[in-house]
Amino acid sequence: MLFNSFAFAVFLPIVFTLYWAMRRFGVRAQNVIVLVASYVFYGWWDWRFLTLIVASSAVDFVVALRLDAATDSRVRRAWLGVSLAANLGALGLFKYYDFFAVSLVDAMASIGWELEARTLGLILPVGISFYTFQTLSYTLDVYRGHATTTRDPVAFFAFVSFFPQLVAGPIERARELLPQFLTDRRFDRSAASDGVRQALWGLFKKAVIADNLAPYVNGVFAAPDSHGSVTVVLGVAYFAIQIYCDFSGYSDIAIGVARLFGFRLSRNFAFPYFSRDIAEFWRRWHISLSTWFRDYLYVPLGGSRAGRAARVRNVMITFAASGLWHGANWTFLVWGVLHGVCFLPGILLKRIPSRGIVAESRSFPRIGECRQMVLTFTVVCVGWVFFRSDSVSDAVALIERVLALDVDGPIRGRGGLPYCAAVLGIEWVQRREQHGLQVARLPVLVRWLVYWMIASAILLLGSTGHVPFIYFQF
Amino acid sequence: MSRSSISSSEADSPWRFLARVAVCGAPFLALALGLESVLWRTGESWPVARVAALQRNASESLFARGVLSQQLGLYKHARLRDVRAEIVVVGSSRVMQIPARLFETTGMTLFNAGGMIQGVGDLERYAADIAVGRLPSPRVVILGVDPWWLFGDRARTISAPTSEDVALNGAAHVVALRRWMYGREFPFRAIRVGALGPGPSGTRGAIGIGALQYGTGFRVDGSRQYPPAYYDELRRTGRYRDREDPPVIERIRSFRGQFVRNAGIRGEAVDRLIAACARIRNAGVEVIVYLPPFADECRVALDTSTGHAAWWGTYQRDVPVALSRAGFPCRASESPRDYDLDDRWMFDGFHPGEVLNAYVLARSLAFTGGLLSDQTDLEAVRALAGRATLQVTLPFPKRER
Repeated sequence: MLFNSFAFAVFLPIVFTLYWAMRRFGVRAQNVIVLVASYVFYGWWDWRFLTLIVASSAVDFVVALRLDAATDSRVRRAWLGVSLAANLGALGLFKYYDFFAVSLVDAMASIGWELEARTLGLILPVGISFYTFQTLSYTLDVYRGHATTTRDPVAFFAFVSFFPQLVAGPIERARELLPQFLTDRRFDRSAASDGVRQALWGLFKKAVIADNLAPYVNGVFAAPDSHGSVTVVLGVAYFAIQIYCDFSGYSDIAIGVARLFGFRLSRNFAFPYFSRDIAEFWRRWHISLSTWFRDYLYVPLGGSRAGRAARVRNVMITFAASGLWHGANWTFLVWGVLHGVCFLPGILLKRIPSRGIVAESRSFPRIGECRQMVLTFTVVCVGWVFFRSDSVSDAVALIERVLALDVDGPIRGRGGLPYCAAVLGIEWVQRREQHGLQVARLPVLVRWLVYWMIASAILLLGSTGHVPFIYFQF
Repeated sequence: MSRSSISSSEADSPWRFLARVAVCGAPFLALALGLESVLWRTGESWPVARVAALQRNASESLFARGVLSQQLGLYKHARLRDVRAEIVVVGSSRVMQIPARLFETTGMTLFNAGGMIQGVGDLERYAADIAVGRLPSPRVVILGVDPWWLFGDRARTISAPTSEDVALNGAAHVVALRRWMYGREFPFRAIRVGALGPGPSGTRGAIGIGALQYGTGFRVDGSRQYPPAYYDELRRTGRYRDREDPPVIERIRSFRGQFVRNAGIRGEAVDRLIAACARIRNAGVEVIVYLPPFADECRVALDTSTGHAAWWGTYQRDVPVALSRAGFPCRASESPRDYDLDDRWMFDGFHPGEVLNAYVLARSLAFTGGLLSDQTDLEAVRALAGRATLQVTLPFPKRER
């Protein structure tokens, strides 16, 4: 089920009503509602996918109990290995098997060995990368002693499949979200109101901004040779805005919807395009994934405590893994490595400034800050070229098209500029807040007027084609 | 319990919150309900199955959606299954002006499925549907073939008879709202009739905003009634005006739309066309193939344009020969001057009116012979056409506007 569908518009009020009506029967009854609703939500795509998520939840529930019971470190490691093998095995099978099989055959062919690739052609279950990492964080935290084991299967299964963030995050840590399933949840009107605002803002970004920029982006990436350099640059910049609005829009809806049910999800985006360097960008972009890789890969590898060469290795492995997490394609690997390379100077010089909000006490940034933001955005856009292209050669061809400086042809796609200006303008004004529509301080009539304007924009300008969220494919 | 704690508890009630959200969203809910009410009362959002059921029993009825998609493939398929006509006219919108009364003297029923077939792929599917019994098998099929069906990139299936009815699709209703907001002409008349009037059943069988607002639509026999305003303008000005956007003559001259520069008619597409006709014939159906006429000005432009010479020459000479060799006698495409008429008997560059179609069919049937030719009083058809004065439709009870 998509957030931007009529089915969800009917589904949500029904679940909301049932959920709060069940409060008198206790938190367990509410968890049952969440679990059933989550499985309906997920099974809406294809009920067969449910078997995988149920199996993944069952494995980690049992593994955590065994970890809790075991005292021998070898036994504990063995049980952790079961969880890693089951989760990463499923992910590898569905997401990476075909890619590595074909890549191996290609590599062998290049040295003269002709092999036949036996691909499986499996359909990638929606959100598998997200819920696999979420459930994996539970066993890893239990193993490290950072989280307590739950003996309530309903709460645990509901935690893994919690429908607002099931298919595209934020990727929650067990130690943050699971306790919320075990404690009494009271309805908080101000939190719920802000949740609706955040969800409305997320829907606006998705339906009005991202989906309206999509045709321009698709046109440029489908045939860069038929466009001038300026049009290609516009197309790449539009993709940067499109993927931000698409993905952060989903996160905003997820966080907002969760608040309706009394849950607090972690922040996933913090106005990343106002970053002044790549390190800051990664503190503001897909925060739940970057912190996951930091805590469960970068730090265990040695993090920044190791020597210079090891630090370089750790950074590059982490970013390469982050790239491959997005998809089984060399383009994602290049994207990750590119960001790793841009991240290295700060790590090597141990000079990663802890930056606050840009121009926090001013209305406008200084010239130097503008220069830093533009430079960072440009580097990020170069990365997006690889991320969006079908192949590395396509990405290189597109960059060559830009560097050709062909400015004679017509400039296409200017129609996307108002959308970009709208979202960047609003978010600049709201950059000190948690999301773009945090307007609780305004008088009630002004607030309602704002809601109506946003809702009207969604109704009159938003895409009606139920375009899936980009990150569903990951 | 203190007073303040009671009010705090009430304020934090999910039900009060839900009510507050509902009040905030009430203007949109009211707008949606109002829109849906108008769409339903005008017949605009009636599912095709309901429209087909109404037209099944009606002697006179017009169906034309105004803001929702017309879904010609779906509608004509539903009606074809319903009517089980003995003569079926198939082709693009260019064959829509062939009404049932043209063949009244044969005693056979006719349904015009014009618009349902937009390419050779569609024709192949129609032939398959007849062969396997998904669609009733008529006695005669009259097929109008457009040249662009035979171009390389057009020999594919376009219309979608199995697609979801947009009347049942919420997103399509949102698009409908936008069409109203952004449309050139706000359909006040349709809204007035829809909101205040007696509803479709009480407005002479006009179903849909297109029918209510403009008096246009598909008749019970499937043929299309053009808006009466067209005829009025023709009577008033006495001049032909191409109403396509952009006009067909401009498309030809500037190589736009269907009229691609140096387009080529592919032998493979012609073979598929003939095979599909043969498959229909093998099901025991007589197939009459004709090439619908163009306006005189378009024909002259096509005759003289070097950019169109190759395909136009093939279409006019080789395609009829190939069809005739395969047992489907066919004549080259004509234009009004072949019948001492002029372009006023066209609606635009490639949509002939009923009178011109009557003449073209009478001549085609005389050329092809066969069952329909034998049973049709061709003189009566010509006489019917000849009675028409300065209008592009045959004498017909005029609809109230």
